[in-house]
Amino acid sequence: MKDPSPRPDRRHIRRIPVAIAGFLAMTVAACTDAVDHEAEHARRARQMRDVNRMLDAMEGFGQVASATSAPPAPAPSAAVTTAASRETPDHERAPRWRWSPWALLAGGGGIGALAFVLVRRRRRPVASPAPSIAAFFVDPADDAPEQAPGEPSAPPPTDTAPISTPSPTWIYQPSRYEAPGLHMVAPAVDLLVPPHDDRRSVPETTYPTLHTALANAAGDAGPFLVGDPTYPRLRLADASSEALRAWRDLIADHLDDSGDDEHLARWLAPAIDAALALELPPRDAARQMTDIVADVARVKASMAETDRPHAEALLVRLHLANIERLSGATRLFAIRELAAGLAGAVDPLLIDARIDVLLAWASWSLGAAASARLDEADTACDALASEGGEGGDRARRRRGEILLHRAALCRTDARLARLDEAQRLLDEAYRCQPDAETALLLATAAERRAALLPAPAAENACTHALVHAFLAEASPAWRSAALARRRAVQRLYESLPSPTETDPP
Amino acid sequence: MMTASSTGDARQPFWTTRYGIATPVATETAAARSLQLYGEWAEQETTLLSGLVDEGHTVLEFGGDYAAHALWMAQAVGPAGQVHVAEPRRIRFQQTCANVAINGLDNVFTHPVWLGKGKGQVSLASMLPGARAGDEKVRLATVDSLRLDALHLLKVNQSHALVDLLAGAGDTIRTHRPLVYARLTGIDEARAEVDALKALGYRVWSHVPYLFNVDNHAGNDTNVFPGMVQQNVIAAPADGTFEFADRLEL
Repeated sequence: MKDPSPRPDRRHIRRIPVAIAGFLAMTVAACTDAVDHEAEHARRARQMRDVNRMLDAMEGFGQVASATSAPPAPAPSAAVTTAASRETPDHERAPRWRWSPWALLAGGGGIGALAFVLVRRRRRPVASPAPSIAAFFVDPADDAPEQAPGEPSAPPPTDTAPISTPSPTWIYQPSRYEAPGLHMVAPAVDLLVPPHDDRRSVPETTYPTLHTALANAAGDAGPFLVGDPTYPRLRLADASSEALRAWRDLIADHLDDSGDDEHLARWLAPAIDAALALELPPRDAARQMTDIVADVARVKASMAETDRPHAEALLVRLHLANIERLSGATRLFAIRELAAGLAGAVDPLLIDARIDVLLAWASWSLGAAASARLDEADTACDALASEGGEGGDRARRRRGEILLHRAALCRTDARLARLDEAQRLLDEAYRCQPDAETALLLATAAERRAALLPAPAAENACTHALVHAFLAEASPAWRSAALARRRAVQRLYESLPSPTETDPP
Repeated sequence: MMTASSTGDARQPFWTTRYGIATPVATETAAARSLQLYGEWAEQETTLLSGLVDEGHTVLEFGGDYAAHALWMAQAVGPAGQVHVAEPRRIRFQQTCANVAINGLDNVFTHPVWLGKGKGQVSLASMLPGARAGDEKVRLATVDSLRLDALHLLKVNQSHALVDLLAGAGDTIRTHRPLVYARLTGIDEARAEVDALKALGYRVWSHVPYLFNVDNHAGNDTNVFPGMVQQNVIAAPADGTFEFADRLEL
């Protein structure tokens, strides 16, 4: 009987040892995977330590979770690589029917070896311990491989192989000590006084150009404009000569303008000239003051009848500033003449200016002479209060100021009563007209009371003084003086005896 | 600037001072030299005392200093007040009177006496130990003997005089309780002078004015009294309301 199948070529018989060798090579490759697995395990352990260090630094468990939850990419197998590299070129291939049994045998061997490797790998996670957070608290020093003496330290692993980090499972249980779910976070208290812009106190439509330019030139040290926005007063504060000269130049530039800027420039020009004149030697200053007074007289003549008291009050204060520089009896005679000229004043602005004169005079006097001036100032306050309205508020503040002067003349035992009354009046005045000048006076009264009171009451007085010094600091024109007052209050407070020292034994 | 440089300048017979005109005198004392160079004398004393003196007050000054302070005090107390000046030395008394007269100070009264604790005549040398000036007989009187109707300020310029003056002013001080401003004599007598004031029930504070005033009336920048001060005291009745908080209490 004829075998219908063709006889096999004997050449394929010679190929058997080659296939067997390929199978053995693949088997050996599969067996060598165990060695590679040990090396990779060590590499991954190093990577785990590095990740732990990084996580410790980041202190974020969430990042750990996201890192470990990434699907691990399979590493290329040595067997697959070998098989791929042994792919035979087309021109050397035998006919398909000749080689198919051997190819099937070799492919089956290869698939078997690959399956063996995969099975080995799938068993590894099962054999790993249960998830634990212990890995996150491992001391890197304990986990580091021992290093031989003299052996160079291995560089940190830089590859980005996947990390099979154990993922900790946190279980939260409710507790009566746990924080409430809704947290009320109070806004932070800003103890710094917010910067106060005096320009905001002036209507936008009033002196938009000159006022802003003056404020910009003044800086933090002054000079400043205070009081009535239409007829402001010049407060020098800590103004330097340069700042005064800058103001004078700005004012001179606006003298020929029209409208509000021109009005403000003409109003301020004598005051700024007087401030600069007072920096000159007395004789030169006296000569310049004569010209300045003439300037004010011209300004006054150009003003409406109802506005002229503003100019007269400005003249009084210019004279007073000049008198304050004098000495000896010359000063006495000059201020006596100035006060005598104001004795019959009825306009509230002039009465207020007269009180300024009397208080300055009292501050240079002693004993009965000072008391006599303060009595006159009290009488002037009566006249001011009789005007009602703002005059009454102003009179209340001025009475508080007078009482501060009276307290300075008193002996210690009588001083406290005067200061109590002064603080009461100034408190009322501040409620009616909360301005920085009144706040500063109030702080002064409270501080002086604190110096006379026993410790517990003194602390309250210090607090009162400190609060109002803070309030006064909000105004740039009074900031420097208020800051000095606040420091004085703090020094006084720190010098008070502690409660344990004052408690009776 | 000065209007006269020496006593012999006939073209400018007066010195123009801060509070009036003054007849030129020999510049043998600090007061005369200051009046000549600066047109003022002890201006820092004036700065303090002008805060004490008011219209209608009565002031008694022992030691005329050529009426240098009487000129301003007369204006300070006004027509209703009085200034009494006691000057024991004859020529200085006459110079004081001249300055009072040429300035027309109707409310200034001059007394040619040494204010002490007795009456009679004494040798100036016996009252001023170590004085270089020539000796002369001076009349001795007490403050009480002046029989003042009021006294608000007792100003003692004369050295070696305060203790005896207070001893002779007991009734006046008890009656009027004036403020006392005095130049201490020196280190040997200062303690006794302060004690005498305290014995009368006074509190005493120190006042140390410089002799040179930068802003002097003549505008003279040359300081001929460099670093020189007077050791003065101001005293007030302890039972009064007077306080001098910024001064050293003795």
